[in-house]
Amino acid sequence: MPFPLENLAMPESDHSTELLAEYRDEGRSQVERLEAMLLRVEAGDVSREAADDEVMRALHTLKGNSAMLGLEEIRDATHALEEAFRTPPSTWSRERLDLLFALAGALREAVEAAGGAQYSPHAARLSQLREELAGETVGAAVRGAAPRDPFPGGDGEEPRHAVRAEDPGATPDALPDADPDEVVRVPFSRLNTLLNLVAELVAESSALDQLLRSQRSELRGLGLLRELEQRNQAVERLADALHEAATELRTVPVSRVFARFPGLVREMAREAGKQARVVIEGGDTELDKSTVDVLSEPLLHLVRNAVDHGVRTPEERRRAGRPEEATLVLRARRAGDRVEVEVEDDGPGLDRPAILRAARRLGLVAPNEEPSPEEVADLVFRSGLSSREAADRVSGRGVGLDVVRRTVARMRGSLEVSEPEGGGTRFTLSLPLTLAVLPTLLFESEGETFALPAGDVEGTAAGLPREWIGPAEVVRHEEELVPLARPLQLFGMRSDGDDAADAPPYVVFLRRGARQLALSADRLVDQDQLLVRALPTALGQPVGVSGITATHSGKPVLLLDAGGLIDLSLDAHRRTSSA
Amino acid sequence: MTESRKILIVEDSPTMCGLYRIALEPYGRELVFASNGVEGLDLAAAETQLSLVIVDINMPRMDGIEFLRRLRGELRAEVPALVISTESAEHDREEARLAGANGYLPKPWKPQELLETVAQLEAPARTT
Repeated sequence: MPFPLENLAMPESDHSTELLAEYRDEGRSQVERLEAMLLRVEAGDVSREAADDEVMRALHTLKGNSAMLGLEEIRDATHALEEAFRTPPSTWSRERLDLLFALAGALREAVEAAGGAQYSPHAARLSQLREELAGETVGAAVRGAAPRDPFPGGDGEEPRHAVRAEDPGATPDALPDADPDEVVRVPFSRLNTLLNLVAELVAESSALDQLLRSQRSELRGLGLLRELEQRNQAVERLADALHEAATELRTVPVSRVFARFPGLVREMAREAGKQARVVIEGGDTELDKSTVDVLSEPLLHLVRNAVDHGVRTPEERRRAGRPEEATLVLRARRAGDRVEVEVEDDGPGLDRPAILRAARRLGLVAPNEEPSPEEVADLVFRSGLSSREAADRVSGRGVGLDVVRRTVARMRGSLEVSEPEGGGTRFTLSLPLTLAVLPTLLFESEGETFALPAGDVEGTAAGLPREWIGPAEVVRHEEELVPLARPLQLFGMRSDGDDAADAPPYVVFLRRGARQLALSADRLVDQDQLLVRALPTALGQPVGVSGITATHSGKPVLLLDAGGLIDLSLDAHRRTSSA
Repeated sequence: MTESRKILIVEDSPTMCGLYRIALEPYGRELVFASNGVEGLDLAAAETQLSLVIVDINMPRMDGIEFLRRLRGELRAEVPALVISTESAEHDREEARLAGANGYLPKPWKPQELLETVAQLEAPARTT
């Protein structure tokens, strides 16, 4: 029991109840100060002088109060925050801000739970984040030295921290650092080096595999084929296992990103005269650090969007027979080799007629076109439609859902909208678990080699008859007409009509939601594990390209993105039809 | 004969004020609270019967040390003062001593410790 009632020697328990209520009230406003400061830093209002006297004093008072009530985890966390702010960094990296937001969120939860049965798990989580912060501060030269989360909070599994915190040997003034036998702190940069090396190994091993396959008859002649193949398969298996293990080394729970939203959403809703709370599901889902880092930005936009559009005013909600306070669910789960993150509101859902009207006004939908309900829903991601509506007071930055989808696509992710059964709107963000090595399909089209993430490819076909619908090329596939596109044309590197006379020998089918696209291919080269890198910044962020990779001969190849290509083909189609 | 043991507590945290109440009121101390140094100086000037001043180092507007300096310099040289601090830092203790503190107690204190320290420092009770 953290609350040392026996210390107070007070028989009346009313006093302790009152005192705890006082502590929680005070603590809440102290954490709010911290969060407000972090929001200011995030908005770029302040940098080095972010932690002003007021925040420092709030932290200090919370530390003192927590010490008095025997709430050691809160005391230690506030102490760590004080230390962190005393020597502010020259820049506040995204990672660091996320961690600080997470800490503030955990602090709030622990303060709210003080004196109750729920204190212990919150306190354990708080200690875990505090250790991460300590790791970052110690390795100040290393950007974001976050150790692997050693205590994934699985269901029913008591975090080992809780045990340690209650260890009678732990003195209050000098809680020992993590036992070196249990946890090793490794700077994030070193983990990255390891992971990159492993990724190179995986790529090399598939290069070797390709070489073996191309030289089969020679090797068989030498009597070497069988053994080489077996050995190589063993190396491949080991490389894959090593890659998986190395990837897991740098997983962190998604709650790191989620933790800042309860406070943020309450604040954003209040500003708009609304009431909203956040429910987090699957916060302990473990993600690769690289994925967690890129998740933060799109998630923020989706949450802003939900507060703008999904959360209605208390009166509107009352009229609709809903509780005045809206609920926003943030949900994460693993789905195979991907992670799905959902932002779901309990508002009125999509206003399809209004979306369609706006889309027609903007020329995104022809007057005679009658899109299906799914197609109408997908229109919220079209440029011009969402950004205009979203640029109100709360959204401020006016980032449209089209931009969010493109950002997500560059990480080889997807973003879809749907409506949950109980009403409301749900945005589903799907991202690869890791961002380093990817199974890809290599194909040649008009003399250029391209790569596509294998997950984006619905299938391939050879020798399909090509047809024309007006000026548009299509192929017939399983009784469906699928628009046909040539990659170089989509990128505007070849004008319409050139080389378009012949039906392509192969097509690669892509799909996003209800939209399908067939890409022309002269040759399907290989399907392989390739090391993927971000596009050099000098190249900008072209639509339809998500990164750069290399064939085994070292030739650089553009990694295409299905969603972006489909957008490009829709645009091209619109241009042709309006011409 | 009634003993007047009135203690001025300069402390901005309601939680801490509650703790002082729990620890001291049952033992016959009357507590007066000020939530910052400025207010503390006003009260110290108004309350002539103080047996002790307890002041927290960490406070808005005027911190505990500055409060103590001015208390000693401008108002009351004689009233005993106890400084409370969140950390047991040697420089805090020294600074408090130089500013005119008679005692120093780091948090977390136990009620018994506080009571003993208070009893030691208190000016002899006046009889009215």
